[in-house]
Amino acid sequence: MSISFKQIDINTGSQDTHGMLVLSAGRLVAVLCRLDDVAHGDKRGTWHVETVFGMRQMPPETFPNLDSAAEWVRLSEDDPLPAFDGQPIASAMAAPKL
Amino acid sequence: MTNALIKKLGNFSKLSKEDEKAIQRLCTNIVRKKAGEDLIREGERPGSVHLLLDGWAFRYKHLPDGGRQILAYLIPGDICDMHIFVLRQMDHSIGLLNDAVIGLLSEDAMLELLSRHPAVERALWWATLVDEAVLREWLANIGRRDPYRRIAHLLCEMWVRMSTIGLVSGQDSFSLPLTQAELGDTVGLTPVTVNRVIQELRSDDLIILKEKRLTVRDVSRLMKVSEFDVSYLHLGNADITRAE
Repeated sequence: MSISFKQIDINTGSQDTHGMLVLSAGRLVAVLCRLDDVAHGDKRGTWHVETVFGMRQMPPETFPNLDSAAEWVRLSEDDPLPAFDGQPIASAMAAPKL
Repeated sequence: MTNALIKKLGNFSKLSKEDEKAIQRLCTNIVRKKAGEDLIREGERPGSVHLLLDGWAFRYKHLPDGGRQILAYLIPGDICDMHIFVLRQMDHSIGLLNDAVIGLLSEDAMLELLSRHPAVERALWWATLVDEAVLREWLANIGRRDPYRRIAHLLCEMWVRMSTIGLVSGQDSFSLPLTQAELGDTVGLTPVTVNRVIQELRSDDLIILKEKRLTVRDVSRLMKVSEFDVSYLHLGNADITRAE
């Protein structure tokens, strides 16, 4: 799946205004924002995940660069739901030991 | 050491001198624990009831992806695990936010207190119902309020709760032993977003947060902006004033 980026101004109510749309096959999957505000200390320069769309994995709080964000999107899209393991529900909910 | 508990329960039910003495006698086994330690973990069965005498604790659940949701803050005078009389095991963990002093209350001593002192029993029941009301408010807070109001609302609640046990100073400031990550795990926001909101609250002249001490610049304005309605805390006779 091709990952692309599109720069956009973002209103975060802070000095962080440099936003980035992350698109997978042309569809929006995440909005990132570069942390420029001095209040972020060591995190300055990293990319904060403002929101994601359609991803089953929880993203990290920040990505060090856009390449690692793209890598995360690829991994998330490949992450399948757990398959049915054939176990009946009754045994999965075995009574707790006293 | 049991003053916070007596003060808190006294808000809910009229306690006699005998009731108060019985509460004081309850707390014979006192231990000190360090910040970051767990009092008890999910799946364990508590051997005794934990009464927080000094410091802050929190209820939390760990998630398989390494995340954590904080479900409640416990402050001096709060009993951490009353339900051990009924439920067999903890469905969540309790950790310490700062160094704390804990009273360990035996099950027998608690049961005797409850059976001999109906006013105390009623007050503890009230306290348990308030805990549930707080949980409902937190759920509404996380689900329906924007990050700014969400955090402002939580800070209002802690200001009120600390006031009722006499731990807010004359300058409307109190100890808030929370990191931005812990605040984020409480209200479902990243530490970065928490940081932005704290900066906004600061620049709106609503709070000062310095060295884990929160000063509320204007309590009534903070309550107004966060749509805070104190009634869910069911304060009874509590006097929300600053300690001198």
